[in-house]
Amino acid sequence: MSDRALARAMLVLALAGAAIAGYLTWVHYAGIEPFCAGGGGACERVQTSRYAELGGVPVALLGLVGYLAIAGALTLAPASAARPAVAFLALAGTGFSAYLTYLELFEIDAICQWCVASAIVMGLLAVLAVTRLLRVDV
Amino acid sequence: MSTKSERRAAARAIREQQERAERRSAERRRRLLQLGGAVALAAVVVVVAAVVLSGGGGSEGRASSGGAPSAAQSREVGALFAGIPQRGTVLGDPRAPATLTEFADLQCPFCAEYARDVLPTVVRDYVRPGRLKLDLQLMSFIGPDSVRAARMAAAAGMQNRMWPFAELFYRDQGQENSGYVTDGFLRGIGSAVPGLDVQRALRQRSSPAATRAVQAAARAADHAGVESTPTFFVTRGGGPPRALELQTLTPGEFTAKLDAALR
Repeated sequence: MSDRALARAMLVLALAGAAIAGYLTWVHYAGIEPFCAGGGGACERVQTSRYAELGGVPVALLGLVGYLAIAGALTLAPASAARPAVAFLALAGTGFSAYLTYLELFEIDAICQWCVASAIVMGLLAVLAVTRLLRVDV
Repeated sequence: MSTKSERRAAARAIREQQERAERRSAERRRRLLQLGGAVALAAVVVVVAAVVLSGGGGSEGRASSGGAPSAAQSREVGALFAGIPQRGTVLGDPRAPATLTEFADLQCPFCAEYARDVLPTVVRDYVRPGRLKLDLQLMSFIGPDSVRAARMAAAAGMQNRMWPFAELFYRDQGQENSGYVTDGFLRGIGSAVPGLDVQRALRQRSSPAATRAVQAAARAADHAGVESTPTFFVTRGGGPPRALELQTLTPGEFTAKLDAALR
């Protein structure tokens, strides 16, 4: 896969992640119940839990900012600067997603499908970002 | 036999190849350093975020906003109770076949933990379908801040707004008995309760009716032998109250015990 194809794939993933995080941010501020496939209200339980905000800022909004920052770096910054920046953002996002998944499993006792989807997208972004960073085409 | 110029070309090719290999090697080292930096920085960010998140969500050492719940918190609480009948201390359909009575203290961190982690599930799965109504009996055994909080909650109950008031109070708990439950704090919490006339509540908290409500909760707790908060009892129809014995305050354990008590 060429460097350009890697960047394109990451951009698609970042936009997909931004869509998920954007939906959860909207749900948070609108005070409505998120759509949860299969019902059960697990998404609502996670979204209204005490872990849904970090320093008063909705975690979903932080995710949205992170995805948009990745998309911005991929499209606006030169490749030499974008590679490490995107790797940092994606690794931080993946680590934080892993922690949030731990909280869902062991503290909140509910799994939000949207959060899992976002964690998978962020994980894939991290894999591609590290792959791209370590490729040397000199 | 190669000519002199051919030998020079061959030597140049070898030199260029070596230079390319050195450039690749240097670039690879640079990229590895960048990756190391990115991993280290990401780890720091994640650890800080996790500490803030767990500290912010924990039951102790949280920073109170000083009675100024965020608009998002106000909306969340409004959505939690939207459309559910409230009357005095009771939340839910008055004809519900069973009652879950909770003895709590608004300063009690475990009560706040229950309110944040378990109550949304109870409201969604038991109160909204009309299976259960909730009765909140507020005690004030922790100290003077509890008394001020319980009186204001009782006044909010006179406007049938005790439940959202308590819920928002829990989300903004300060250090126990630090004197944080001031008029300003109560006004801030009350202002975030949808539909509450805060001035009227502030006036009525010292009324005989509010005093009677606080005393009635204390008597009920004595009568039930409550020794800690939160303590829960389930009453079905005219039957005797059954205590819920809980080890942890998680939705899974709570609903399992609740189901057993309702059977």
